[in-house]
Amino acid sequence: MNILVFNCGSSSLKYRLLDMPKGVERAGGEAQRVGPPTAKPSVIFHHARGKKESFETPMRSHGEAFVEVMKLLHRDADLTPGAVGHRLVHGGTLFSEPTVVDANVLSRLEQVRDMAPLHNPPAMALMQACHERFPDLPQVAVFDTAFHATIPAHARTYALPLRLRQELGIRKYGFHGTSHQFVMEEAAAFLGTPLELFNAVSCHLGSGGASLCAIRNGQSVDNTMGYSPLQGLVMSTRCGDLDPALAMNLLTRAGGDCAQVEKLLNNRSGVLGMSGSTADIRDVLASTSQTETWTVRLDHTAQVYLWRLRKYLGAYLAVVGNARAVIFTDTIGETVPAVRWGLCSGMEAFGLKMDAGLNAKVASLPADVAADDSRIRILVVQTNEELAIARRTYGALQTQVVKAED
Amino acid sequence: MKTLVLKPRRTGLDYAFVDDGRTEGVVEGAMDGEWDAEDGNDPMTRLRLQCETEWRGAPVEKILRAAVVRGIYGGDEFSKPVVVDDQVERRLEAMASEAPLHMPILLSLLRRRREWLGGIPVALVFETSFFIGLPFRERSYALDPELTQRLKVRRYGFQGVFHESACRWFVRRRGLDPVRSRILSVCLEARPEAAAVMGLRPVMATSGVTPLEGLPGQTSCGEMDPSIVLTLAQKLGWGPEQIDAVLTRESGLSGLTGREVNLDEVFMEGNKDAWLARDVFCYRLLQMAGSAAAVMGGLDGVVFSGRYAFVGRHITPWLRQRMGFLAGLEHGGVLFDYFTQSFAMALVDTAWLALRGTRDVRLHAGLI
Repeated sequence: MNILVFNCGSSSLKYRLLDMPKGVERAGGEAQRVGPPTAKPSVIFHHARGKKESFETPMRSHGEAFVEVMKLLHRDADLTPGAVGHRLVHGGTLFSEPTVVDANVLSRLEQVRDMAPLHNPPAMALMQACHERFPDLPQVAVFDTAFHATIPAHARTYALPLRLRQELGIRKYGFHGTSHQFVMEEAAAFLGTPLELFNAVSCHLGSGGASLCAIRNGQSVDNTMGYSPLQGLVMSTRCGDLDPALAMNLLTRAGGDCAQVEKLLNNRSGVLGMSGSTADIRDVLASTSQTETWTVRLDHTAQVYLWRLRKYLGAYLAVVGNARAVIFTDTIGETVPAVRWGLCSGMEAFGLKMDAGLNAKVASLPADVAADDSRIRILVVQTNEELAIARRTYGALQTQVVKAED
Repeated sequence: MKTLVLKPRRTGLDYAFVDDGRTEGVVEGAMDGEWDAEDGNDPMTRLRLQCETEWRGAPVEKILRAAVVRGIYGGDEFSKPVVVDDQVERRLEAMASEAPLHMPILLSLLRRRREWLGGIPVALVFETSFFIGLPFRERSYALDPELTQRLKVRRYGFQGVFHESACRWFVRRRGLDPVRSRILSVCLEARPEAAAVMGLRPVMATSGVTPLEGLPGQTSCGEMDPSIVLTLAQKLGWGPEQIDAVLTRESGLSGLTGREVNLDEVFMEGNKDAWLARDVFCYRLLQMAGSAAAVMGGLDGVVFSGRYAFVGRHITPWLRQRMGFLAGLEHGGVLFDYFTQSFAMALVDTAWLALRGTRDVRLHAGLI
């Protein structure tokens, strides 16, 4: 079955067509500059059968972009999708597993629209368009928060009055769930450990967002991101953990302007805020700045970035208890040996020991870069969110079929 | 002779008289009253009046050897205890804006010290001093340094007196090498705080710019996603004062339990409604133990201190059992202990340890 996977950005639409359950990619691409017209025209970069093409065409909404993508795919009978998988960032407490979309689900989704005000609305518009245009094409919504539905009460509850927690749905939701779940499955398979016995700490270190996930018995038991993706690690432009009193202070200084503070903490902090020159930790680590002021500032940035990671790795290894593996994934996790080393060196007290040589020259993934005598394995695993979404979509449709037959 | 311990607070004063030989124990008490009250209704004047009756008119110098005042926030200015003089007063005035709640109160006590305490030396001990040398990587937030410098934003700990005293006591008692010791120090007060202490110096602290961050307190929320603050403002239309009131006075262990509780009650058997508060608190401590071991390369011991140090006995069995994350023989070897000394004693010891060499104090103690 061909499954078309969509990943909505605020002004882009990535798509991949995967033949499931084999997981072979048949086509893919990205629509860019989706939305109100900009200086440059909207464009789709499309690839299939080894051929790359680009098409300029107006796309004023994600719904219109979807129609254009479907036109491209329908040119070739072999590339007709049999189902669609959508990535949704936030499912709130309503959606804790991949969900087959129907009119009822679409209306329930309205209740979680504002949980991710930048990401959920375009994905929902896309699903609506898909539902109207192709009512017979099965659609599945796959939620980033779903994998974290198993986080227990003591880890997900903020120490706030009950009425506030209930009224506003304030709790830890956790994010990057699709990726954490995917690399967990890959790592368990690589080590030959049954998933239900697999304990690990997964480090999703992206060039943008980043989070750690504590995994016990194949289930998420904690995630460094919280109510929103702002909490936790130092990220490219997000500050991560912050004294709530400081957030209040900033809000007061901004004259109560929430949007201004939100922008400061989400877009102008983290690696970018500290370094003052780059949002990418790779630039920070590779810098050969000539002036002392800048060198000091970049050095400080790297220190704070790695220190926060180390504290959470220790915390999560304690939470997991008897971890079998520490998993590194996504852009930074997969390609920056210095970050992995900065995190895993000096951790012998945990039974975690990295082989510096193996870590420095990882050729193909997955790779085990732990020393022979390390109790905990250190794996570098390539994440593939589209394949993960295709797997969940396929799984949800199979389950639906089984239920229907019952 | 006695040493008078003073803990000024917004609407009053906690005090204690610590006997020289400590043979008669510690007499503690509290005086209420506004610091700017007129007609002698401020807490210190009321304490002096009470003393005059008890001392039957004897001059202060005959009864008291010294006074030790607890300061909450000493910023980057005070790295160790000081004997208060006019110059210290001026330094405090200069940094008043950094601690707009505490500093005016502290100053209203210190400015009139001669009137109230005659000629005895008045030592000032700051809770933040222990944490002044916190490594850069730990004390920094991931924000633009221009902003953090302008706002004087950095991480401190706010229970330095207990941490320092407890860790010193712990290494002595357990025969650890002070320089190599790696301790998780857990101060169980109304606002609890944990610190990773290596070689008797802190390398990690749970509190932040204020004591609001970190472990959940009896009524304070502890660490949480900063965007929750914005959500409260946006969705409920709350202003900073209202948010502050809820986060500092209605949250924490009490917020989790649904009624006002203290740490002792949370861990008391039979309080079934406190299960979530108990679980959340223990879980955060487990995480801190893991973080502490990660930043210090291991963990030798856990020491509990503070008014509720004994509550640590309820936490220890669970925490010890979860120490399996530490490799090899070590994890059976993590030591647990409880520093049950009162705050007044710990404060006097801290002041004495730092100041016994200084001229004022030696002069008064008859050492010169």
